[in-house]
Amino acid sequence: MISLLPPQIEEDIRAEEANPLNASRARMVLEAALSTQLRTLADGLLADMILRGQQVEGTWLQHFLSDSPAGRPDASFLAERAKRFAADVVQRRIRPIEPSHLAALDLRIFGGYVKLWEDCRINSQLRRLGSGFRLALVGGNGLTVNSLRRSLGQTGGLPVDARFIFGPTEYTGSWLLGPIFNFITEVSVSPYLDVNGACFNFENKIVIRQPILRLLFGEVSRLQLATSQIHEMSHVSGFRAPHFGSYAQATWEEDTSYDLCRLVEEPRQLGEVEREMFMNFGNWVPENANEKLGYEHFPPLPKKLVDLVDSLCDKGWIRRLEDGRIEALLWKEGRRWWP
Amino acid sequence: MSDEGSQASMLPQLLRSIDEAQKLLARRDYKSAREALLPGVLEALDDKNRDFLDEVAVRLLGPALHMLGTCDFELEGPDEAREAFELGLGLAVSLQDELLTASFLHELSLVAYKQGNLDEALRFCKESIEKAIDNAFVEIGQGLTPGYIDFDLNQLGVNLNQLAVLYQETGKFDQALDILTIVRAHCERVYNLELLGGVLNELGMTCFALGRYSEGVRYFLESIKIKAKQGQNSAAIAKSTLNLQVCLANYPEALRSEDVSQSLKEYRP
Repeated sequence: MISLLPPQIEEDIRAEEANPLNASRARMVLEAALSTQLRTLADGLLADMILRGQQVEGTWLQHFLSDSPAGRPDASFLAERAKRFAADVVQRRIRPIEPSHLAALDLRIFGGYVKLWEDCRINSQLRRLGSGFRLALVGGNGLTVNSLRRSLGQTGGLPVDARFIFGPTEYTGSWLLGPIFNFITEVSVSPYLDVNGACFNFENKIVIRQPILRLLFGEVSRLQLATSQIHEMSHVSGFRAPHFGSYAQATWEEDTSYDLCRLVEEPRQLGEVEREMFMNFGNWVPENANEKLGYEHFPPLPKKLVDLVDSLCDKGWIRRLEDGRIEALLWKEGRRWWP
Repeated sequence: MSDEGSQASMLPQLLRSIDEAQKLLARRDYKSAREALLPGVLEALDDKNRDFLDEVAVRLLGPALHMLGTCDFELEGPDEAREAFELGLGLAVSLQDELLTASFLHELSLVAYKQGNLDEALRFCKESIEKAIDNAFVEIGQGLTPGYIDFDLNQLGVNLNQLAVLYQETGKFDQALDILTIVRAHCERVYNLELLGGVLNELGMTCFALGRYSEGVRYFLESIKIKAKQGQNSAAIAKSTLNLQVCLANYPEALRSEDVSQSLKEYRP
């Protein structure tokens, strides 16, 4: 087992597991635990690249972007960080990690250790705790197959795609055809990720990297974000993998329910929710879009916002306040969040 | 039928019988499907016709034998089905068709399982999965979309689930847990909730056997929830519910765990 967890964080996790009545504190512990572990992983991968003599020039920028003061980090900041990083590698404070070890890597979350390729489970736990942090793991499929080969006693494996990003995301976490990872910042980013790739997609997932967009354009407007998302959506729309089930039928409702609860932890009016989550509900898709296209391009919306709000009220996840605002109850202190 | 005319008639007959059998199998009419398949298959397998089987007919014989074995399995049990599946396996190996080979090995694993030969079932199942994975490697080598493995991932998931059940039956619970964790991750990635419900049920059983009761209960409850959400039939839901009850009855110490009683108390379907 390869673990990246410092002992102090293990203690914090155990303390929350033993007394699971404070979801917001547990959320912070989980975010901190995953940030530390995935940051260590990114450091390890970068150290391995350096030791193998790979070009890392552009990588420094994205690796230290979240550490730098607002704006683009200047050359002296990067040089100083790179020097310190190299010293840490030499003094073994940073251990190199080869991409081929990723399939065996263990990450601690509540309930025990999971493999890196159990990214859906990691994201599910973050979502259920009301966290906006997400892990976008590009090569999860290949890592799972490599792990399977090992379990069956086979040697060799697929070439590893070691790209990932971990960090806080916007409230819009999904649309009709798949998840959206709209990263506000990047707490941990794989050195294998192209620093020039501000937005991309894999499988049916969309990744928007606001820190890179800000590097390119300065401030990023909501319109720019929306157009970037719609551009990536057009790629994902063409993703017709024969063995993929329907995201809209499978997990859209659950993902959107948690997104909505997260949004109304601070009470909000329905109109505000509708504006903020317009991507989730496909309000931007013209009603007769499929008819015009001549084929079933967009699946039917599983639930309208008002219906979802009603069902969440019935489940006791949210409530309507007297002034019409909606408030999340799911993570109120004293409410048991585990198991 | 050893003249040129019979050579020409063999392929259309096989095609027709496969086509008809497929429709009948979709309606679970195994008896009529078997009747539709048998003449064409027997004729193709007849020694005197061997020289006239062209490549297309040989390739059609594989799926025909697969369907025939399935009919035999349902109508007469594993002993009868074994013959068709073994013939099919031999054919698939000679054709070097990895996916067809994997498919026959999977069926033979089910046959051996039904016959109570657990070791043989385990061996067939592992070989089947290895073939399916090797096939994926070949396809990736041919330059298919990187990052997405283009082979029947759902079929592989079913095979892996079978492997995990066999590990459970032979007391290899740690290995069962490893495999089930992989299938679970796969199901979540490709949104296959139908298979996921069953996998979570098996994870529940495995965790109980390993003494991880609170985890086991959580898996069972999640399985019931997903099956209900999927609108799966009551038999599928009852399977997870019954398994949970059997586990709680067999491991009474589980109910002394606070986590377990809390999960059961707070469960909302």
